[in-house]
Amino acid sequence: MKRFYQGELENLRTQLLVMAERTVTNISDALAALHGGDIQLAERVIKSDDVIDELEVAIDAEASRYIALRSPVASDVRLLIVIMKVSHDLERMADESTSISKRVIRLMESRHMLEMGMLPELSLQAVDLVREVVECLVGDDSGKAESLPMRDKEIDQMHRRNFQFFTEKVQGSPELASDYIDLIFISKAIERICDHATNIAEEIVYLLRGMDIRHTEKTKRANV
Amino acid sequence: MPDPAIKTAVTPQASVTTSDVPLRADYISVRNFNFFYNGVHQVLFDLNLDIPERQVTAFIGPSGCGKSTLLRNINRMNDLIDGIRHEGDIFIDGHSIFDPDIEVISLRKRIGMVFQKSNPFPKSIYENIVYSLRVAGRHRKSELDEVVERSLHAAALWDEVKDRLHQSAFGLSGGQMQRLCIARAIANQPEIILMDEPCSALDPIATGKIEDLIHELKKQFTIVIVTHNMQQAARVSDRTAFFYLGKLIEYNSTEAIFMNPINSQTEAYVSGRFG
Amino acid sequence: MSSPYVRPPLPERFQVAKRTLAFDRFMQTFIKLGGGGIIVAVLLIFVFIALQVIPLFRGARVDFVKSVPVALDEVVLMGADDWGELPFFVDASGSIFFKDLPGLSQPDGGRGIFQVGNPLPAGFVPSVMRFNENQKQILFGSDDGRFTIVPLQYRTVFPPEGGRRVEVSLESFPVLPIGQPGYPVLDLAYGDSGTNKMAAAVQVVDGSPRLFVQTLFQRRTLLGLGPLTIERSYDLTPLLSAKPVQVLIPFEANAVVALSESGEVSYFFYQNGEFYLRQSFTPFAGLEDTAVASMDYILGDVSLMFTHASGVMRVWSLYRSEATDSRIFGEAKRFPDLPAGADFYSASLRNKGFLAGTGSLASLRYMTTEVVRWEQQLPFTIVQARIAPRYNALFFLDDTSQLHIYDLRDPHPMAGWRTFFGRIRYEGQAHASFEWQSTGGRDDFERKLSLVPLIVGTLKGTLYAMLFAVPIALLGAIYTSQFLRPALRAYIKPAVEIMASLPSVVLGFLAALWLAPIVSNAVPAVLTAIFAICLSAVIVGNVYPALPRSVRRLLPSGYEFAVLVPLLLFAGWAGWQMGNLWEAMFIGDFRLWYPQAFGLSFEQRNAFVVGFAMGFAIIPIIFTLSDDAMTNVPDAFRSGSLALGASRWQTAIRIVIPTASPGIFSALMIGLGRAVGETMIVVMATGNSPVTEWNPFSGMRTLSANIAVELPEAPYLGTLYRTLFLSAMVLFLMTFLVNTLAEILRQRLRERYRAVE
Ligand SMILES: Nc1ncnc2c1ncn2[C@@H]1O[C@H](COP(=O)(O)OP(=O)(O)OP(=O)(O)O)[C@@H](O)[C@H]1O
Ligand SMILES: [Mg+2]
Repeated sequence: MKRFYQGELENLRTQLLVMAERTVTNISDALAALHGGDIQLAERVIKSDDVIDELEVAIDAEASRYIALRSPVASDVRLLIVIMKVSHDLERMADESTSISKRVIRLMESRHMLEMGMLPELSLQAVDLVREVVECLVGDDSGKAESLPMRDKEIDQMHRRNFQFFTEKVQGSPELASDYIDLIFISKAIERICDHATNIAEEIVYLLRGMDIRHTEKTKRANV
Repeated sequence: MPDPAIKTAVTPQASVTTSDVPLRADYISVRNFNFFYNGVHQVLFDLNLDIPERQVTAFIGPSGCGKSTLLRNINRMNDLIDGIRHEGDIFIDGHSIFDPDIEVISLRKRIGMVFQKSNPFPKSIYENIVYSLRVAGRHRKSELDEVVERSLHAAALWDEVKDRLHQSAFGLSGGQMQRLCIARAIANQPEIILMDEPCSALDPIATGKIEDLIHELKKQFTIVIVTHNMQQAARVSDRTAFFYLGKLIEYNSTEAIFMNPINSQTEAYVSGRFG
Repeated sequence: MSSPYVRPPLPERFQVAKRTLAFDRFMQTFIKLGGGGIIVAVLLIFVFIALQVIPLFRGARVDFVKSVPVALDEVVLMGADDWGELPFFVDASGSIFFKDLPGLSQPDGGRGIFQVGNPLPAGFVPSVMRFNENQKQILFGSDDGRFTIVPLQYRTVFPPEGGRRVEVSLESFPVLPIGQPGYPVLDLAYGDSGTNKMAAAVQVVDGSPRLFVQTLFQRRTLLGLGPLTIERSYDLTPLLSAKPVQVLIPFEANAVVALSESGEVSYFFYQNGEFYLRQSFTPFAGLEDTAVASMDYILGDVSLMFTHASGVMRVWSLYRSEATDSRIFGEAKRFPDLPAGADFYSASLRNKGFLAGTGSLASLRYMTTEVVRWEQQLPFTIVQARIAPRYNALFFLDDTSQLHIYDLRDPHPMAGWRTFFGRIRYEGQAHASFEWQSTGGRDDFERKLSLVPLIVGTLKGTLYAMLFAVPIALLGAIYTSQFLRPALRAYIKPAVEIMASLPSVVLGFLAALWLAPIVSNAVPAVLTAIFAICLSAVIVGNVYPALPRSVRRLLPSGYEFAVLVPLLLFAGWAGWQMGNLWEAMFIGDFRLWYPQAFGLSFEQRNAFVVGFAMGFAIIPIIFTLSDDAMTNVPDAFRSGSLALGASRWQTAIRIVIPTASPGIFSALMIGLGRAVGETMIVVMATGNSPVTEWNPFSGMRTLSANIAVELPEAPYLGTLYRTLFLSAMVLFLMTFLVNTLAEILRQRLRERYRAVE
């Protein structure tokens, strides 16, 4: 039996997917701006973050309204919790891409030639991970979502190597210190984005399977 | 991307309208209403509330707080009781229901009522539904047939009973009987439907069906429902009135009542921490 | 293998107290016994009644007792005394012999066969002898035109040596001439009503038979009766169309019936000193040979039994013919044929039975019901037969002068389905009818025991009572339960219930002494008043809703009666006045006009009055039971209906009454049962006339009233007594039937209008 308010939940899910799409776009735009040195693109990313914030607020309000009025249970309640968490994660991801964009603008203004270390690979990996997470969200693919947290290890590794690389650069050329510190933060932001993406993957598994795979042996070992 | 679910719940204008006349926000309007049983035993105290047209308004409150009494005042079913007295007034569409020129029978024809315990008459399903037409002196077979089918469709019961319209209504299940009572209440196209705990004797499935039905019916009818089931009030109503000891404690949109009540008693009641 | 599991003893807190169990068991058996006892009691009542009734439907039992030789060569006439202990036999010479038979089964009393003097004077050679059984007179006609009568005086004596003996003596009677002197008398008849005395004879004069009648006269003097003298002689031969062979005179001595050779019967009526031929008829007109083989009176001398040579048997009875406005004979009964014309005949002195037969066949038949009570081929040829006067024995004399005595046990000869439920043409009636008349003024009275008038009376009383009570009680119940303020209902109901406890004797008394005269004086007024009340109720009902609401508001709902009751009273009063007025204007006096206009009788104590009085007895029952039934209709139905915009009346008619219909139905049936069984009111307020008609202005007699009225008078175990039990059984079955039907219907209704639980 389909209840009359079932649509509200679907709308909510759709809104989340919209938000996810937008977030993915922002992330890939921010990274594209980084690698292409495109200030305009970076500015667009910063601007569109507001929409994502609004979406998060709307999703939050609607989800809590739904919880209050529709007394959801079972998969519905998981969906709502996941929606709220995921929207929060997405919002954080979008924030990170905003901060990447801001730093990109600053770097462009300083006009130094900088070495990028592993940032390009990291960016590729990150965009790929985020895209796959969103695909899992759209396609309700818990199998794939379960495998995604493994990739976080690799990304952390890259970020650590970037961190070392850029720290050495800061020590090696103090005049470029501020630029390289920006790059460290960008690397950190990408790593954070991937963490959020991993969280989302875990939440997708929770949503679809009803089981919590966070901080379990498997993921911990993967993190080591 | 449009998000109708959010807006439906908060703005009355979102209901499907069949006429161009704007819907009244004070379709039923209770003004300074006091009510006494046995002449002295006051059970309703200075009530003031407006019930909007073609929306679902829920009355909630602890047992004995006067919800049914108020509901039964709207179609003047209390007239049958000895020694009742009221002060103040109730208006429907701007007209006082206590106006001496109003015939109570025609008032009741405008208002369908569904009771806590389903009470089909000891007649066939068909005769149950056409009862309100028959008492109004309408007996044309084709008209009655049409009304039966329309009402049963509206009450989402047609498919279940279409083959046994002329069998006793007592052969139906509890939920079907209650939907039959709803079909009976809407057969004569009333404007208002009053429901006094319509689902209190039903299982969740039947309850769910009736809630869905209420949701459908509000496109056409103004519905007032008394319920003890908070979730039900939250699910089906657009506005909720919380009564306590005969007084209207809080009256607001259902969302406000359930998410952010102003009054601490309301808060305690809807969250189940009352008393 | 599982180890044996030992169940731990049940903790005490779970155990049921022994006393509780014991008491429970005791009450169960007690209640079962009680219920069973009631059923058994009802069954026993039924069995008891049935035992009283069954003998009614048994046939006659005739058992051979003994044969005694009559030491006479030829017996011409035989008869018996009232006790059947001293039968007499007359031989061809006219000598009368008596035979001692004390107690049918005992040896003879020692007197053997004896004579008490010779009744006939010397020279009186009897040519014909007849026995007038009723009067115990032997008629002798001589071969020279004279006749005499020998009355037998029987009496019982209690001799000093003990026991009881029947003594007989012969009384003297003058020898009188009749007809033409010198010619032999062929047949002789005599009748004496006390005032009229009449003798008739058939005499062969010069080879042709003639019919002579003479009236006798006995002067009453201060010293007693004077000598019997011939008053006047008549020769009725010229009035006959054929040769007379037999003559009969009824005991009233007011007519002469003569049978001719050709089978034509002439009925002469004696009036003002003259004989008129009132009727001539041929009993066997339809047959080829119309000659009549035998003609005899049945007890009461109103009916004649004829047999034809072929054995066909018919009874003709006197009745008042509308056409001639006089009493004439008409064919009333047909009996199964005998093999030939009757050789012997004897009428019962107790009832309308008779014994007839031919050869060795004897047949005991009952005139009223046209049935053969007993019929048998006896092992001897019968020449003479008599029913003992007390209808307890049969005497047969065979051709060898043996007297055969049979015990007759037929306590209820007239009982039978036809008697109780069929149409019977009674003596004196032109048509068959249903009648109840259990006792009459005379011994030869023909009892009429049809239960049909009583059943009709019962139904009639019930009908009029229900006609009056049902509308009032039901409408009243509807009003109090559906319209009246509950507060007022709390007073009305107990008041009506008190009415129910009013003894019906009081109601009957009021109805008979107070209501009946009033109503019968003013039938049109009463009817008009009733009509006016109904009419005004209808008018008010239609006008009231049309009044403006502001007017109607003055009368709070539930208090409508405050206006209605005075209005109806006024309407009743106005109707009464109008009724009196139009009665005076158009029909004068209803009591006289009604019988003229409708040809129906008008009695003061009639069904109309009973309907009123009995109505008052059953209104409270119907009212309170149906009020309960309607009040018990779940409120959910009422509110449901009202909430759908039905008026209170629509709710009452469409929802409350159908739902309460099983209860209302029960109420009606209980009321009906009370009306059917009601006794005192009917006994007192009707004339108790058992008429079979639905006329509201005649009385009636109901089964129950009949039992109450007649049972004290009915001889124990007699036919009437048992018939009253039969009517009790009919009443029982009627109520049983009604109740069973009602119960079946009620269950159906209940199934249909069962409330959901
Ligand atoms: N017919 C009546 N006569 C007198 N008092 C009544 C009557 N009906 C209800 N009351 C009283 O009026 C008060 C309100 O009753 P009401 O039935 O309106 O309560 P409610 O809110 O509908 O309760 P519930 O939730 O139990 O149905 C109660 O105290 C009750 O005792
Ligand atoms: Mg209630």
